[in-house]
Amino acid sequence: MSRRTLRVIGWRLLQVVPVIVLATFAVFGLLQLVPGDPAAVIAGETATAERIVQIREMLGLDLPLWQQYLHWLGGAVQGDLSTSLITGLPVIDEVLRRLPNTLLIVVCALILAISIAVPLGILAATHVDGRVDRFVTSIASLGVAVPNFWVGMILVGFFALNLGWFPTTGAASLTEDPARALWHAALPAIALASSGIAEITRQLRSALIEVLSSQYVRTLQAKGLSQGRILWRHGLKNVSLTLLTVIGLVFNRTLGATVAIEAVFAIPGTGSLVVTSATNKDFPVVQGVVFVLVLIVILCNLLIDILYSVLDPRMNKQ
Amino acid sequence: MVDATSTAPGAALLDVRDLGIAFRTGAGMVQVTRDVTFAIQPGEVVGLVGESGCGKTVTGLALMGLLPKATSRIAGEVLLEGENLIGMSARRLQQRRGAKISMIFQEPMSALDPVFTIGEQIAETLRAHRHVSAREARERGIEALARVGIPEPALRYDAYPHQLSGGMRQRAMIAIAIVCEPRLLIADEPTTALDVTVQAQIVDVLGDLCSRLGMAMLFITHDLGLVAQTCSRLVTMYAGEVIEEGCIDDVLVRPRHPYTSGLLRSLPALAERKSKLPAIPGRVPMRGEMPEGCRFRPRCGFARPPCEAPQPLDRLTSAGQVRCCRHDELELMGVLS
Amino acid sequence: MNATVPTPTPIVAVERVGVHFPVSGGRTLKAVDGVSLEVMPRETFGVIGESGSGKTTLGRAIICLEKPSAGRILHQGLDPYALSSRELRRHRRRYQIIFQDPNAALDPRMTILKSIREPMDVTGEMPERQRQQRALELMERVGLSPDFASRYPHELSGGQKQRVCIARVLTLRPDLIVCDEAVSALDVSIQADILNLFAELQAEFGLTYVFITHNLGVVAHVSDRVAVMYLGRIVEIGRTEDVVLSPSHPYTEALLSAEPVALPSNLRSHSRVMLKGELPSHVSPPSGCRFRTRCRFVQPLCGEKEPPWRETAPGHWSACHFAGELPIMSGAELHPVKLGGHAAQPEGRA
Repeated sequence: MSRRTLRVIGWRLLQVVPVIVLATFAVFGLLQLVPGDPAAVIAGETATAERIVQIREMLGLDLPLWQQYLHWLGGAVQGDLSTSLITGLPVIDEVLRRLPNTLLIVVCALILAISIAVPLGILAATHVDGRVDRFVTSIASLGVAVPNFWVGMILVGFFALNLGWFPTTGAASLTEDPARALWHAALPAIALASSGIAEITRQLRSALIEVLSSQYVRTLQAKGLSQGRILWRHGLKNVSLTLLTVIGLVFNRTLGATVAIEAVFAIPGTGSLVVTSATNKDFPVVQGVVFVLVLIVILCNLLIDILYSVLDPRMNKQ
Repeated sequence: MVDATSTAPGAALLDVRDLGIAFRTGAGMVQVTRDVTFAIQPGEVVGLVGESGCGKTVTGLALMGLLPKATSRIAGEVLLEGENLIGMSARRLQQRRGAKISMIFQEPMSALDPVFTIGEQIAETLRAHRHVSAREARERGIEALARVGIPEPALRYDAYPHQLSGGMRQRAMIAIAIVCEPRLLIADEPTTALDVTVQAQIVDVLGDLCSRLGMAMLFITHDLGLVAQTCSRLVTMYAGEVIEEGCIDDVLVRPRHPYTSGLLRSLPALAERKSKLPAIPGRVPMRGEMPEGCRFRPRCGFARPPCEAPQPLDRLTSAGQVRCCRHDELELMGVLS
Repeated sequence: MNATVPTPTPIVAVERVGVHFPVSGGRTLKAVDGVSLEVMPRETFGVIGESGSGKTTLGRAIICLEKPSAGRILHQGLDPYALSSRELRRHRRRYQIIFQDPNAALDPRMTILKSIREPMDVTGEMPERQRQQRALELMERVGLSPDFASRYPHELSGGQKQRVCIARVLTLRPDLIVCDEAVSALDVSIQADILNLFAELQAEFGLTYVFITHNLGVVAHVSDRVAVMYLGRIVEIGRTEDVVLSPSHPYTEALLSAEPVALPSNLRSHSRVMLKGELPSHVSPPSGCRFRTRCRFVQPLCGEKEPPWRETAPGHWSACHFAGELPIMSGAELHPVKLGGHAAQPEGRA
């Protein structure tokens, strides 16, 4: 790795700090706006006012917002994401227990999306305005328009309930039973991938069309390179940057979409954890999940930035 | 119509006969050039001039077979060493491009792939046409860079396009085009984007390459000064047609077509100050609204009723051609009064 | 230095002006560095240079589009930056600029007439009817038929759009117009037309032009005096004939030599001065004379001391240690035949 690349990483890591602080603080603040008092929820419906006050003090909920936040942040830095208000168990354990289930379907979805969208995008871009291109673009437009969870519901209805090829709900551990885990992950991953396929196909198509009609491609033709070589060597290297950006974007979005998909397939992942703890006003859990997801997104973007500086020589311009 | 074979058959390196190019647009087919006829002898440097929109660049691209097949229709013949490039299979055309006939373009920045080094772009040209090892390709690539006057060629070989100045990029572009020592180089406004002192350097390099490699060049430009400096013959295009062709020194002094004369006279010349410049009235007609008969007629001070008939490209006794029915009777002015 | 005979107040006096831009690493890019010149009323002053010479920045500084970081600009003896912002706005109308790309200056959704009227509408000094009237008059004056009034920019050719820009600028009755490569993008036949128009308008409205271009032919044709710029500095300044016919700075010589001239080979000079190397960095320009790294006459002194201004002929100054002593090729040697004035060609001599 060049010194330049190392500098980029260092610089990006520095930039990450305020992003994390801002993101977590924003979630912290937003949760305060949610109607309802966690202390009252914990105390139960029959609890006295004194008992609620007592619980509030015990949990530190009576402190000013910024103090609560700093307290939480101090713990988070040391890997302590506080405890669940409901179960009293450490949040970090719960998050880490569920995270593999979520990451499995997200990663499967991403691999699926890339391996389907890249050939589709190339096919469309090399047959601009032809029948293939029109077919691909209309499918892609449809994919962008249709919400993931709806695709999920259709898939469950047909492949799981009707045909019985896949399980309707649940998940399995990848380490204990990989085959079963993948079998469970298949439908949710396909549902999650649908919009990613559409997005990557569209972006790749337009980027590749632009590259293939650029002046330097004309030069490549003028010097007698074959169309194949122009496409595979020059076309793909030039669109790889766009591709990288889109994949990063799709990753972030897919991660977000797990909330709905996990609900449809009843997968014990982080998405469903957020939903249940938010309904229960179990704020530390919500906060913890968001923190971990933000970290993942930031790491993913960092990786993309590094790849960027490796792939694009212009980034090394002094 | 002129008999193009009269220029010693077989001798011409490039023989363009009745080249007509039409583009498919929303409003149907639009004829962009028609009856473009001229020839280039081996080692000869020919200038192709005209104002923007007259079809010079399109002609250059058509000679290379670089116009998109789906949206263009090409008629006529382009004979390179006797082989017709029009209608040639894509594969065979590919083998000619870069090896026998090369092209360089106006914008040296956008004409080079930004994510590959200069060296990679030279080497892949070489390896597309010649059986050379990677090491040999590198050696010959560096040699080509040295030949176009790039200092420290071994160092620049591994540079990316953005690391070079505009002039250096254009040199690199030329190195790519000549690395296989083609017989003909088409240079489409290669210096228009460059400063005048850099332009002088590039033109020098091009002239030097032509004489050293025995390479012929079609120099496409709007700058008559550059043509005067680099070319031995001049082809003038107007509104998609060749309207005059001749030896550069003859045409400069005694143009035979009123348009060429107008172009020459409208140049603001160095030592002549504050006089009213003789401009050509009007503008180049748009594609699709070409006047009947002589296309220059609406802007021509010499137009007479016979000009309303289609004008043939007449062969002159002085080995040139002109598309003007009055060329015998007119005494047109050139750069000297 | 003072290159002009002290006659009336110059319409623009540029006094040791520098325009600096910060660049990365806390360094400064001096786009214009210590430039002085004076432009007299009704004069056409040419500024010639290649990219990176600072000519465009200088042009922008002259009409207060760029505030000098050093030195000052005087408009008819008055410092525009000493004016209140309201006064400055009024004052600015008299100092206008025309750019190379007319598309950048015209709103694509505005009709031609509206575009021409717009500056007057903004100032709102004249009654509506009069504004309309004046816009139509100016349209006709710049050679646009009234049919164009209701058209949009995309329906016009480059030359016609440039005419619209000229009419637009004229509505404000400027004293001085900076023409920044105003004809560079046009075809020669159209360029000739626009240059003729500039000349007519100058005579008619008593305009002063600062003509910035890289095209030597254009600058030599239109200018009374010319300044040659290199790397942010003026290297030579003087009457156009003097500079073009007997250049005294080696850079001017190279520039003249590089200019391709449409002459038959027997009349063209074959001795050429080819400039070596590349333009040095603006951020760390060469010490002493900035041109020394590419100069064919370079001496040790050139790196040690900045060259003083030397007057080689009345009003002809050169920033070279050896100006007047060097065997620089004259314009006649570089381009041996003076191109005689083209007499108006008789219509259809048969």
